[in-house]
Amino acid sequence: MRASRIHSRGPAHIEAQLTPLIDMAFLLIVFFVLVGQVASAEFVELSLPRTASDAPGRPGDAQRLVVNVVPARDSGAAAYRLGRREFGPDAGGLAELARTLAEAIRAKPALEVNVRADRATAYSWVRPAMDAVSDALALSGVDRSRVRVRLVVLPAGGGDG
Amino acid sequence: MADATAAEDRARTLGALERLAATAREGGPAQARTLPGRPSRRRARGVGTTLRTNLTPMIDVVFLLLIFYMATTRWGTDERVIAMDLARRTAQAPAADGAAPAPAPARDPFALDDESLRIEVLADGSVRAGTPLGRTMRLTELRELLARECRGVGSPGGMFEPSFPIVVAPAEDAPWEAAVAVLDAATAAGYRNVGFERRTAPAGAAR
Repeated sequence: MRASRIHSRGPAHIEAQLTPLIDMAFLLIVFFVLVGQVASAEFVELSLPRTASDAPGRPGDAQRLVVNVVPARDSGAAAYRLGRREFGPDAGGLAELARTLAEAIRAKPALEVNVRADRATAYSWVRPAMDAVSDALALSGVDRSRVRVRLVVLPAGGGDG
Repeated sequence: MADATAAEDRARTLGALERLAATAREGGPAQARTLPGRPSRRRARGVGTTLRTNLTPMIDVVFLLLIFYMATTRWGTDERVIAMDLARRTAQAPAADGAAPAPAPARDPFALDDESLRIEVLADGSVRAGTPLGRTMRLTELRELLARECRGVGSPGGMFEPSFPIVVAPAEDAPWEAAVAVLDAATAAGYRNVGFERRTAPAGAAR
């Protein structure tokens, strides 16, 4: 090793303490991986309907379940997705969706249910999702005065969904 | 001859002594100051000094930035929600084998048509307002009409109270955006009792 001009008797030893940096990088990786998984499980890439007014409110901080109507060609629905689980767009799939929702509502009666659907999806494919929410409350036996569902939209002038 | 040589030696020695004395007066031998590789006074004790980079403040700042962005970032897009009450379905959910659920109670035959304002949403996005309005119109027109007829501070002569039920009845092939737009128009106008029409058709596969 070549001696430096300043220190003629030996090379200069420059050490960087990288251990905290690596620790923190790992923490960040774990954090973003977890958040990314949660976000991807909850949200399906959809072109949400856009409203013309500011009447819609912001989603609250309450715990919620998101039922996504996965779009298919010709404005139909390919599936209904709740978290990571997918349910077929037939009677059996919708009944299973209602039972799954009922179990979740029974465990946490204060759960909010959001319905996300593509703007081009026909109403006949969104209505079964809302009916499944209503069925779920009936199945759960939770005494709620009313069945409330939240329809997810984009505000006027908002970003893409 | 020998004397001359001795004198030259003496003169040479004297010259050398004088030069030595001159250099001593100037601060020591010049050759000693220019010796390469001599350690400086500051580093005379240490050989191979270690330079360390203190990363602790940087990590502190990065953590502060992380907390800041976590607190201010909204995960996902700027989505909004329209809260809506669904009709309670007392019937059991459809069975997994595809059996239809029990039908909803039949409509009261003596119920008046003006109990609620029924707005149909057609496949092309236009709307047809039921009694008492009774005509087909574009969505923008419906929006203005609903706002004008909602009785309140702005329009005391409006036809409907804010609690008047608005029933949105989209056609089966109406796009979801058109259905939501009518719902949004009604809620934006101030009506508090807005919802989709309850169908008597069995839940399950729509087609």
